[in-house]
Amino acid sequence: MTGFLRIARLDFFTMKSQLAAYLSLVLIVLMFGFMGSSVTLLCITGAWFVALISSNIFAIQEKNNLDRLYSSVSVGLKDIVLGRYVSVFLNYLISFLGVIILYSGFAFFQHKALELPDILLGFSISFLVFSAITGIQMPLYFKMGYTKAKVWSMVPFIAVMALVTIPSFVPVLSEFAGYLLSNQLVLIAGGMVAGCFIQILSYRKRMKRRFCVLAIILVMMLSVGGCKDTAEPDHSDTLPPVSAPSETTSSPASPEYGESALENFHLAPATEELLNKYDSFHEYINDEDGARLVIWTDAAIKDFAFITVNHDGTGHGLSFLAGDALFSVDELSPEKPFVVKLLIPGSTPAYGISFVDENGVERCFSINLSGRGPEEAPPYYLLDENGNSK
Amino acid sequence: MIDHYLDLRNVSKSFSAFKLRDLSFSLPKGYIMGFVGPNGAGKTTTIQLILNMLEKDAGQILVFGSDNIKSENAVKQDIGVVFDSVFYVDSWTVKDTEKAISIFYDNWNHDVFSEMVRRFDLPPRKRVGELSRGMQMKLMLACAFSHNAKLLILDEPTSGLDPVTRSEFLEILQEYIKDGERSVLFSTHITTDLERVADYITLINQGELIYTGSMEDLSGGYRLIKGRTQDLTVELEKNIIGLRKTDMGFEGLIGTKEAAQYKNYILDRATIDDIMIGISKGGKKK
Repeated sequence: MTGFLRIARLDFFTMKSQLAAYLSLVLIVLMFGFMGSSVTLLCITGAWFVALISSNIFAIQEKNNLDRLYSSVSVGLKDIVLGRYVSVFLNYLISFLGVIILYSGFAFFQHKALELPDILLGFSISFLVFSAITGIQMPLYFKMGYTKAKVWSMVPFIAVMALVTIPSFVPVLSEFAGYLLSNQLVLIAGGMVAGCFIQILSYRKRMKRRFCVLAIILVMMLSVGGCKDTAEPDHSDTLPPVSAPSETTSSPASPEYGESALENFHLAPATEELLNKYDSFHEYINDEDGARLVIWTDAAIKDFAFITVNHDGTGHGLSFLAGDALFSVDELSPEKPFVVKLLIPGSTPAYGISFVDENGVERCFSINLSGRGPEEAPPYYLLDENGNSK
Repeated sequence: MIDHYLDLRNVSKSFSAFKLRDLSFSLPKGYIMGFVGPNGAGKTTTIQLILNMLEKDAGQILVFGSDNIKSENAVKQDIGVVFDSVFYVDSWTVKDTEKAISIFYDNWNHDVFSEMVRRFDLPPRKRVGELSRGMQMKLMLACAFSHNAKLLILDEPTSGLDPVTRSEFLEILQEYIKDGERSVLFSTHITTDLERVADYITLINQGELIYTGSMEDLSGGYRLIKGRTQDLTVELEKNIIGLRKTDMGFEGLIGTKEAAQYKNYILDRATIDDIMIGISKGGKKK
């Protein structure tokens, strides 16, 4: 057996006394599971927890003079460092598998679907969070010892927590998070690659200050992306597929024409200036006291309808189902827009539109309130099945 | 055929406040070498250099005839180490300790460990942290014996042990080298222990080698000279190493050859302690 594997084995043996601590992870997962958290959030929680627990091995090492033991046995310094990285990573991996198994139990009893992309996303984001924290912590522990590095080792935790809130205030970061949300493959691959990159750099002890900042920002971006798919439904949520009335929520329309359909639509408050451009328009009054909005298209749309939108919380996050049609026309042409007076009760959409696209597929968009001032962003927007908005 | 299990050649290591200079000594196969010197002399530094815990600045260290760094993993399979304090996790039981330590040795012998545990009266289910200091030392020795270590490196193992346990410890060491295939480097500042078991002595002070050679040569090379203050001549004062004057008289170390001229004075056999004290106070042997 090579030296680093011997050290990893010894670490596992040494951490046996810490097994009780892992029971608290089980409790956390159970609690979050009952609260309906997504698998991604649970994985991140697990990674966070393991990163926190991992420092215990350094505490045990320092308390019991294990440096002397390492120096007396037939392993080199590189083996000791690599063995520690391997044992900490295996710790994370076992915890990740534990979380997935526990979540699968929840999913089974709650009739939820746990799909491979969800697991991959959970792994990717949690691995990145874990890598960034331990990747910064471990060189500190190796260099300074547990007691001296204890205070500094909390910095990555605090920094990640603090930085997660920044995208709410920085539009560029928010846009980047939005990009990641709409490109899950990039998110999954990026998380894994970045996690590996951080671990390798950390192992080689090239812990430059610039690298730490980069690692923390990367974690922030990707963890924001990962967390947002389960957060409260606001403008930047990743909302799972909206289905046509005859479809289930898990059968989204093909993404290849999703964006182009959304591009055809425009939604704005129905001002006199805007309406004067048209000779006539379709109109439906849902609520006399509501806002008057106009929806127009760049191309003719078939089987257009103004519909109610129902919510479905049984799947991955919160999704929508097309409800009843309140108003419909055979065709919505660019020359004749649709004007509706409606009251949007809050940030959760209650109304939407449906139509049949150029491929003959029935589509549905929800009408959403952005909650921002008119100078910041349009007050209303449409959200399609893939989480794209306009 | 290797004659020397340990061979240090002009080994140097500098720290800001301490320097180990050109240290050279050899430990022959089948013998116990006492490695002595006052606190801060450089004993632990030397052991750390042998175990590659520290990087040397210059020189060469050969263990079983191989470079201690290039062949680190191989040579450490045959080295047993006992430090002044236990370096196992205090929550491990004696049984756990075997499981943990055996990971690192290809030729670990469970039967030998069990035999040692029985012989040393080590309670298998007792935690390391609950063992007495003497028991902890025995546990470290049991581990060293269980992988058939050819070279035992002991760093102040007897400090803090009661006389009975120390005596028992020394007996174990003597038995350990009985077959002539094993050696012990025994670092200590309790030199009375060495007088019982050591065949060779290496004496260092302030990072410099004072003496290395057989125990007999060392103790035979010096005498402890005592006399009244008025009998201390200028010539005698020059010959005494580490002169101590009191109201009652004087005392110091003198070379055996020089001692022949002073038969009218009290001349006693010098212990290693006397030699160490004399040398550390008055300089090194010429």
